[in-house]
Amino acid sequence: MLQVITVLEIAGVYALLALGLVMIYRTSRVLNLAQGELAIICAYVAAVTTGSGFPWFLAIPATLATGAVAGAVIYISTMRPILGESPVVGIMTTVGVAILIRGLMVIFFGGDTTMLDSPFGDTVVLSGIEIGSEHLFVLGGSWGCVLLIILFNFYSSTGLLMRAVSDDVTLAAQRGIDVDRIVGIAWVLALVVGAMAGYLHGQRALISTAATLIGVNALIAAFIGGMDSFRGAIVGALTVAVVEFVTIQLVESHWAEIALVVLMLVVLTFRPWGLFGTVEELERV
Amino acid sequence: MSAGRPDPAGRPPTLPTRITHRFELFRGREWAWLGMGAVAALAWPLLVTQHWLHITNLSLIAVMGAVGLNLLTGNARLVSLGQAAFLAIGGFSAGAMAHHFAAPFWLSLIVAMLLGGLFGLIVAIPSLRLKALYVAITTLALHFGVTAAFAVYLARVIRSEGILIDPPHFGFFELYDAAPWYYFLLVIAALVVIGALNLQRSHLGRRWVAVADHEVASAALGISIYRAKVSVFVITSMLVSFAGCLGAYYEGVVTEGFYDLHLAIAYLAMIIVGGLGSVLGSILGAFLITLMPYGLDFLLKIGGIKISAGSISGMHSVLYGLLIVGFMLFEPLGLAEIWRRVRDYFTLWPFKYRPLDQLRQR
Amino acid sequence: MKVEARLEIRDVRLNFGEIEALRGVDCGVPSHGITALIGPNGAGKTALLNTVSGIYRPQSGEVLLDGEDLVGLPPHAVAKAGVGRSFQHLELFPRLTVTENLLVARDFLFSGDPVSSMVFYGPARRQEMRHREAVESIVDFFELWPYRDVLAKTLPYGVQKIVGFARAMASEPKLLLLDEPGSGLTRDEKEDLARFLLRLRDDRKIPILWIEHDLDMVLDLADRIYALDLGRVIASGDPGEIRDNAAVAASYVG
Repeated sequence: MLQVITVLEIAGVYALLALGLVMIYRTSRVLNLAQGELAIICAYVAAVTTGSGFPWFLAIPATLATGAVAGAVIYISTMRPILGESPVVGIMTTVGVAILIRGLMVIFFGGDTTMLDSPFGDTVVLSGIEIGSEHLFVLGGSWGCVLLIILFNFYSSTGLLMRAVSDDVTLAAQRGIDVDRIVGIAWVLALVVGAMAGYLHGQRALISTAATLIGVNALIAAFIGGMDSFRGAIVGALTVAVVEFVTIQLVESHWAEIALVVLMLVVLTFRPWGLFGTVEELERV
Repeated sequence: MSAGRPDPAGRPPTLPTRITHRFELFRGREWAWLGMGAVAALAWPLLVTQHWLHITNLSLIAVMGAVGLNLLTGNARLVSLGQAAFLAIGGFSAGAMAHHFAAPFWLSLIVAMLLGGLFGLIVAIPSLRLKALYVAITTLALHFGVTAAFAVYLARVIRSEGILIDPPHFGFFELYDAAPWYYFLLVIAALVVIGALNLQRSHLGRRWVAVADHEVASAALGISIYRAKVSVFVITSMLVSFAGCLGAYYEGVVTEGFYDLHLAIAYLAMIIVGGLGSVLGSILGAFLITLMPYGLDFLLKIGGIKISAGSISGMHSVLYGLLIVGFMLFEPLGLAEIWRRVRDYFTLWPFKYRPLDQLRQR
Repeated sequence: MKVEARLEIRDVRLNFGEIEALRGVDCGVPSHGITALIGPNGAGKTALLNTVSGIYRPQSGEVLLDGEDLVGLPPHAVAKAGVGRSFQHLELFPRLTVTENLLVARDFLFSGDPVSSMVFYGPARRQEMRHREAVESIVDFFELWPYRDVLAKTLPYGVQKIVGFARAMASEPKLLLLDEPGSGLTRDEKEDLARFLLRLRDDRKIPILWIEHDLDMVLDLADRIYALDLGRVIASGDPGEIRDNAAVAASYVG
């Protein structure tokens, strides 16, 4: 029971990050390698706000706002100028952004390890088992947000426009969709979601520069599931969480990374487009 | 063709010269510059302190790694975040060979190259069916896999933070001081640079660029995509592991912490700042990025500014980030392109463009 | 006009899921002369060329080059077997010069391990010389002298099309597949193209399978014409027969 909750918590955080990656990839065909860094710097913001005495219902909006501002700034300053250029340019730029944020993290927060306090009491008793309330908060928070993203994507009008852009940018633009605005919204949303993931991560684990590894695990999750599939991101996140948890229980944390890498290489060898991803069309000649 | 009248200036008298002058690495006055550069390089240890000679040595090692990465990322357009992993493979080959077998220097180098090639093959195979963009993730994953494996190796097998490596020796001569190392690395780096330039002008280099630019078209013209991608991965991984092995011998120690993602990104910064696809760019970038932290310290010391060590490392990261993003946005071809433009400006003045038949690609 | 066929396509069928791109195409390219392939957009002309090149694998049928079946071979093996190919859209390698673009087409004729490439002395250098000489003759043939060392991405459109054509020739193929070399060319450039086509046919004796939209040009130059519509050959014959064919007229006019 406790194990299941732990796995679902980890999976929830990964799923949020992976969904952000998928959102960005679908609209702009950019792999955002800075996702983990952005999530963690938002978590630092949360730590600072709660540390200076603000209650959680102010800290969470502050964190999310940081994510939104970061998303807008990154999109406008670095992504919009290179939209439509070779994917290599996009990926390199996000690498630059990632290292930049890592540096800012060290300068402003000293790269210290901190943890967030749970907004609710200490422990709850659930069907005879004592559970830290933060665990339930992470569980509910992450999967609740996952649900919200899915609902947004499939039932809101902006979500519809995003799907149109992801299907065919040119066609969408010709139909009068403001592609620039949609892609911008996708970036902002993805980073708001990423900030939430960072906050939730801080509830159950340490915040440090090393914690940016969650971004890598989320990338692996998105890849296993298929870069352009929401369903894939969730399944991938669950897979990664299970594999990580089991290897840590059986051996140690270093082996978890090795296992994930092997898993990903195997999946990509046999299903290069991921479990649920669309098969990419051949280049046309 | 109507637009293409035969151009007398474009047709020197004999066929062989007309062909060779188009793929010579250096010609005419460039040899003179090269000679002067060589003299300066030989005299360098006499001119600088041990500290700066040490930094030069680090830069020379970085040149080899950057040249390898640039062939892969600049020419074949396969973005690799696995640079630190391949350097680590070289470094740990050196460490393991020295620790377990007390192996000689040359044997470690060979083992490092073989292992590097093997791991290059391991990432190349799933990458074959993927879009070039995805290679960034397979190599990123490789980075974490390999560094985790070495952490396990250090903890379980060596039971120490790192492995000490004795300096290499040739007969009775031990490669220990900075100056002998400098000459040794200078020769090796020069050989690597010439090798890379030759690769670029050979059919292999053309094939890599062609496959990166248009996969289907190159296949329809007779290129095996499979062989092209595997060859570029294996060759560059061998080269990078070779550089990693040399680096480990130079430092005299290998630790897991040295090969972090920061190192991989520093190498990407080198080739982006220097110029993607340009060997000259790899050299410029390797020197600039290796020098940058020392230069920053130097500036801070002159300015009398005191900052904590942590903040300084943060500033290094921020600078890397700004350099990468800035060059990607404003000058994707890097310093090599800026250098070419400056040179053209002066050689062509008062004109602006070269005549058509004198255009050269590099 | 039953001559020994260089290329024979027999009952080739190609589906993409539900869509039938080719529904049993039969045609042949004799060992000399220009064979043109005409038809409205979506008729399956490029799909047929891609099938010959090995880019698409047909569900059934045979593609015989001098009697040997090409179906199932990967694209690079088809090229090695002697099929040169140009593309409808510009598929030049933008980061390579014109000479290098042509050399890439000869890539499979190169031999030697990476180490000899890194040394680039002796055999590797002589090999490079040899192939550059061969490419020079192509440059001469297509009158590309001023553009030899110009990066492909900086060339004007018309020149890029000619370079694509030249590149298909650079490997000295047994059969040339040209996918709309004339589209987007100016009047002058088209006349150059026609001249090259005729010189290839008469001087170099290379059989050509040529896709073209410009019907007047095809009727002027081709020795044999196949008209394709909706994945089928609807007419074939010499230019005179095609000109008078009711089905062709119907598929063109609508």
